[in-house]
Amino acid sequence: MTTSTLPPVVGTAPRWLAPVAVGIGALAATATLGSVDPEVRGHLIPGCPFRTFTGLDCPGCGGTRAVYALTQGDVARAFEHNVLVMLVLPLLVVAWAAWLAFRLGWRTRPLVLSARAGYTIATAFMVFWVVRNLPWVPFTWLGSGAG
Amino acid sequence: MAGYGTGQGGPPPGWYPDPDRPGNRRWWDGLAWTDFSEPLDASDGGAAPSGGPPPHPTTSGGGYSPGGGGFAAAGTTGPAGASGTAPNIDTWLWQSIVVTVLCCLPLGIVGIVFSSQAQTEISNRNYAVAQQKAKQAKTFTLIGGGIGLLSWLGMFGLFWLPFMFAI
Repeated sequence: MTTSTLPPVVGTAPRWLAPVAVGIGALAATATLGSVDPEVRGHLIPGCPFRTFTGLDCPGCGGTRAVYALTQGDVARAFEHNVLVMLVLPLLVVAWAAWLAFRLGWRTRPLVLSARAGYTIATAFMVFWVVRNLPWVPFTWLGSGAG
Repeated sequence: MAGYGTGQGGPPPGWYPDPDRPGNRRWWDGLAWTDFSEPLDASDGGAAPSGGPPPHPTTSGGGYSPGGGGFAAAGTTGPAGASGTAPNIDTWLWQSIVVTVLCCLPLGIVGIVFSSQAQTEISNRNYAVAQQKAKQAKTFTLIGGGIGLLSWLGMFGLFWLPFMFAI
C-alpha cells in the first residue's frame, strides 16, 4: 500500500481523522442542542440571519428546532418545523458514513450523487425557499412558523 | 484506481491534461502530479516530450496537489489513465448542501449547481473541466460559508452581547 501520494505535510495525520472529527463535532453539537430548548428565550441559540433581516424563512429555518425535536424523540414535530432538513439529514449521515469508509480504505470513493440528483436538490431547495414563505394554506405548513 | 489507499498506484507516468489548467499538460510521475506543466500546443505538436520525461522530481518539494480539500481530495487525484478508471475529484456537493442549510444563502445553491455540472463533466470524462467546475463550487461554498459565519457572529454581537452586559 503506497502512502507516498500524500504530501509530506499532511502525511502525519491519519486519513480517517477528518471524518471522525466532523462526526464528533456533529454529535457534540446535537447533544448540546438536546439539552437546550431553542424555543425558550434566554437560551443562547442564535436565530437565522436571513429571517432576522428579512422576516422571511430561509431553507434552513426551523432546522435547529427540528433537530431539537429529534433529540426529544418527537419526529412528527421535527417534520413540522422543517421538512427539507429532515429529508436531507439522513442523506448527510449516509454521505458521512461513505466518506469515513472511504478514508478507512473500505471503499474506493465517497458517496457520489449523479448530476441529475444534484440539480434536483438545488431545485428543491429553491422551490422550498420560495414556497414556504407563501401566505396560503397548504404552503404555510412548510413555514417554520411560531411553532 | 482509487485516489489512494488501495495500493495499486495510478496510471503510468506520462503527460496528461493538466486538471488545473485546461490547455496545458502536466507530468504525472506515476504516483503524483509534478510541477512540470506546459501548453498542449507545444511545437512538438503534443508528441512525446522532447529529451524524454523530466527528471523524476520527488514529492518532497511539496508534491503538487491539485483538487481542493473537502471530503475526498486531500491527496492527489491522478489523471484518467489507460485503464479508464476515473480520478477522485471532489465536487464539493455535500459541503454546498451543508452551507445552504446552515447559512441560509443562495450562494450554497450556486455551489450545488456547479457541483452538479462538475459531476456531469466527470460522467463525460472531461476531468479537467470537471476540476474547474468543482473549483467554482468550492469558491461559492466557501464564500457562502464565510458570509454565513460572519452573519452568525454579527447576530451574536448584536443580540447576545448587549443581553449579557445589560445584566
